[in-house]
Amino acid sequence: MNLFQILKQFKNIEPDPAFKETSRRAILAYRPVAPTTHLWSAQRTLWRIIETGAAVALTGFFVLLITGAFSGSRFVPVQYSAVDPQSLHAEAQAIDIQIQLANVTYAESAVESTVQTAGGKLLGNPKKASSTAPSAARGTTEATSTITIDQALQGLSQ
Amino acid sequence: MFFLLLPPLAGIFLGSVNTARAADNCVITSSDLDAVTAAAAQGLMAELAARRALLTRTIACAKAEAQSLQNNLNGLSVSDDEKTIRAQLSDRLNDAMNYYDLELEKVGGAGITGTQIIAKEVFAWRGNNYNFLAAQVANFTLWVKSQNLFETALARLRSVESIVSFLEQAGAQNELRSDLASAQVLVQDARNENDSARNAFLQSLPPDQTLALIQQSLQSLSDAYQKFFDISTVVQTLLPTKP
Repeated sequence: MNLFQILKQFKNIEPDPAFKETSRRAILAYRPVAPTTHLWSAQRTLWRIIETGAAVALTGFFVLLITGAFSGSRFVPVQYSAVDPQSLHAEAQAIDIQIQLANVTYAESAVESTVQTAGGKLLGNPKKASSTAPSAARGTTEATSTITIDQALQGLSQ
Repeated sequence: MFFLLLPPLAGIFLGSVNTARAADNCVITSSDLDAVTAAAAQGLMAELAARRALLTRTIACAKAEAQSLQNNLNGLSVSDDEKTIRAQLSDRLNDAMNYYDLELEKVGGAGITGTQIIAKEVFAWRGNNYNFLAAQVANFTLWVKSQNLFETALARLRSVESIVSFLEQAGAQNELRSDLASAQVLVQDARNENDSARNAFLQSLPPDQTLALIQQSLQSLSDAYQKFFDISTVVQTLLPTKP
C-alpha cells in the first residue's frame, strides 16, 4: 500500500457514535451569556451614584473652605491676622472718626441752643454771630456776613 | 367762569415759581437785612416789598433745607428694622415742609406787621420743633453710618477669641484671658448702648439723650479696641511674625 492509498483511507475516519452524540448534546445545551445582567447593572449604578456624591461633597467642602465658612472651627488653622496691628489700627481709627463726628454734632446742638436763648442780642451784630452759626440752621457760612435762617427770621420779626 | 379762576390760578403758579427762585439763593447775608432797613426809608410800600421778598426767600430756604435733609435721609442704606425709624423722621420732615408752604401762602397777603408776625411764628416754631427734628435726623444719620463698626468689632472679637483659645491650649496666658474678658464686656456694652440708641429713636427721646447714647456706644467700642491692641502686643511677643 502506497502513501496515496493510506491518505484516501483517512477520509473514511469517523468519531465514535457515542462521543458524537454526547458532543452534540453539549453544544445544543449551551446558552450564550447575556452582555449585562440585572445585578451587575445595579452595582454599577450604585457605584456611579457614590462617585458623583463624593465629587459634589468634595467640591462643596472646598467652596466652603475658600469662602471662610469654617473660620470658627477648630479644624481650621488660627488666623493671626486678627491681631495684626495695622488692621486693628484702621478699624480703631474709623471708630475715632465717628466719635469726632458725634462730638461735632453735640457741639452744633450746643451752639444752636445758645443762638436760641441769645435771641435778639445776636441781631445787633449778625456778622459776629455768623462765625458760630450752626450749620443745622443752615444757610451757608463761608462769608463772614452770612447769617442763618433763624437769624434772618429774627431780623424780619422786628 | 374760567376767567374768574384765572387770576388765582396764575397767582398760585407764579407764587410757586417765585418760591422756587427764592430757594435758589439760600446764602442770606446781613446786607439783606440792611436792604430792608434801607427800603423802609423809601416808604411803606418799598419796605413791605423788601420784607415780603426776604421773608419768602428765607422760608423757601428753610423748606429747601428740610427737603435736603429728607433726601439725605432717604439715601441712607438701612435695614428693615431701621426703615420704621427713617419713615417716622421722613414723615415729620414732610410735616415741616407742609408748614413752610402754609406760611409762604400767608406772606403774599401780609402787611408789614403781618410779615413780622409770620417771621416770629416761624422762628418760634423752628426753635420748638424743627431744630430738634434736624438734630434727630443728624443723629440718625450718624447712628446708621456707625452700624458697620459694630459688626466689624464683633467679627474681630470672634477672631481674637479663637487665637486666645488656641494659645491657652498651648500654654496658660492669664493676661490674655483677662484682656479678652474685658474686650468681651466692652463690646457687649457697646452693643447694648447701640440698641438703647435705636430704642431712643423709636421712642422719640430728645436728641441730646440719643446722641449721648451713640457717643457712649462708640466710646465703649473704642475701649474694646484698646484691649484688642493689648492682646495683639502680647500675641506678637509670643509669636513674632517678623524677623
